[in-house]
Amino acid sequence: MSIEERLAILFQKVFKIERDEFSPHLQPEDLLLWDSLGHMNLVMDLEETFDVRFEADEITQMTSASRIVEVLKAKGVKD
Amino acid sequence: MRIRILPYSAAYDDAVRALSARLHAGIAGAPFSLFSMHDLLPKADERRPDDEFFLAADENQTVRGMYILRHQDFWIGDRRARIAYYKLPISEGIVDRAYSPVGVQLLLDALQRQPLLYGLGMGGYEERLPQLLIAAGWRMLTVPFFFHVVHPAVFLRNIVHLRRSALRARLFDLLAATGFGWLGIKTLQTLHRPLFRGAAETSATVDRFAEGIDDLWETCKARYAVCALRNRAVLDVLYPAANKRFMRLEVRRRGRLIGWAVLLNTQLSHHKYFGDMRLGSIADGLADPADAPAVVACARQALERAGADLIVSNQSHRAWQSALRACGFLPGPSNLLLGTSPELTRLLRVNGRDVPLHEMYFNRGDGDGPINL
Repeated sequence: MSIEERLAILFQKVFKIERDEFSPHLQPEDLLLWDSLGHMNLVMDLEETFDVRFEADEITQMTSASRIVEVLKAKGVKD
Repeated sequence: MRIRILPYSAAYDDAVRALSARLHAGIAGAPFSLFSMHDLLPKADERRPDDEFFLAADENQTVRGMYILRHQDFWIGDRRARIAYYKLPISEGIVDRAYSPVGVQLLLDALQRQPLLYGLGMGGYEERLPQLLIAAGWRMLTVPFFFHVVHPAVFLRNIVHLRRSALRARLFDLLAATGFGWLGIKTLQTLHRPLFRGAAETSATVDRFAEGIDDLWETCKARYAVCALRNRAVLDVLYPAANKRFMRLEVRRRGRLIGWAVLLNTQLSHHKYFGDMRLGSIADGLADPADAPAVVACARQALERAGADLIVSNQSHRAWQSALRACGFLPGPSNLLLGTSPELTRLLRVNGRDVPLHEMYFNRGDGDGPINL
């Protein structure tokens, strides 16, 4: 399963969206539950799912689904 | 968007003011004081030497958030440990979702600087900060609240929190006017637990605590599983002699210092919970747990003499909770939360068991201090 597909599943779980609502362009402004609490939940789930630990400055780079994929790839996560 | 966390410097004051203005504009009806410059960057005379301010600034030097680390020494188990209070984290994410990650970045930055963090207060579980901390794996506990009604009629006419419907307000007015309220509250407070009657203790208010405070600290510290350092030097910073709001009470038995308390006695005006009551509070204190009833009894008497209508206190330790009950206090709903970071939670674990809240010593003197009383 690709990073993006796994991310889509996480978005469904954390932000309570349907699978077809997911897009790489999604940003916090697009989703009701993507506030600071939602972001924390997302980060915790990302760390568990992809077995990585994020630095504080990486957290703020996660401003869209596609940027999250970039951050994950930069940390060595592979499709 | 790249946001860096930087130590505060005065060069950012204008940027902090701009953040304050954006927060004001973004939250309709927000109490202005909440995000005022005053609150974001406390005045020099309110800053403590161990406070560290941090800002979240973007590439354009625009400030998107900030927090304070208040470093404190605690006595934990059998040793002294340096931990920090995670104070006043504010993120622009609360008004602009584009900055939702900032709140998380602030927290992780704070944890990287000091993994042993705690939070206190936070307004209750429904608030955003405790929810965020819980999501980050923090342990969250409620510090119990107690109250003692001194003047039932004034209490019934002003307890906004309980007078929320017109019917209830009329009922409370009726109880206040007829004296049935007085009878009911006094009976409840007396029957709840037998009143502690200390006979051998004397108390006096002082401008500055006596040197014996240090001996008391050394004697008492090991009696609590967790307790912030409360020696004379610390108390001079927390409750400076120049601040006349604080009533510093020393309690003695046959001339020997057995405990102290810091009290507040504040005339409120249109308070959201307590209306126009004169609110007395037992904000802080220390004694051997066995002497807690004597300290609470003296504190209550001092506040009654000072004209308090209602006396309140939050206490985590069971000895102080028992002392409050023994002195006629009743338990009430509490919104004072204590959160401990995962690393601090681990430190507070003995033989695989979390130290229970009732073995720790926390009250309104911790964290921000009694600023809201």
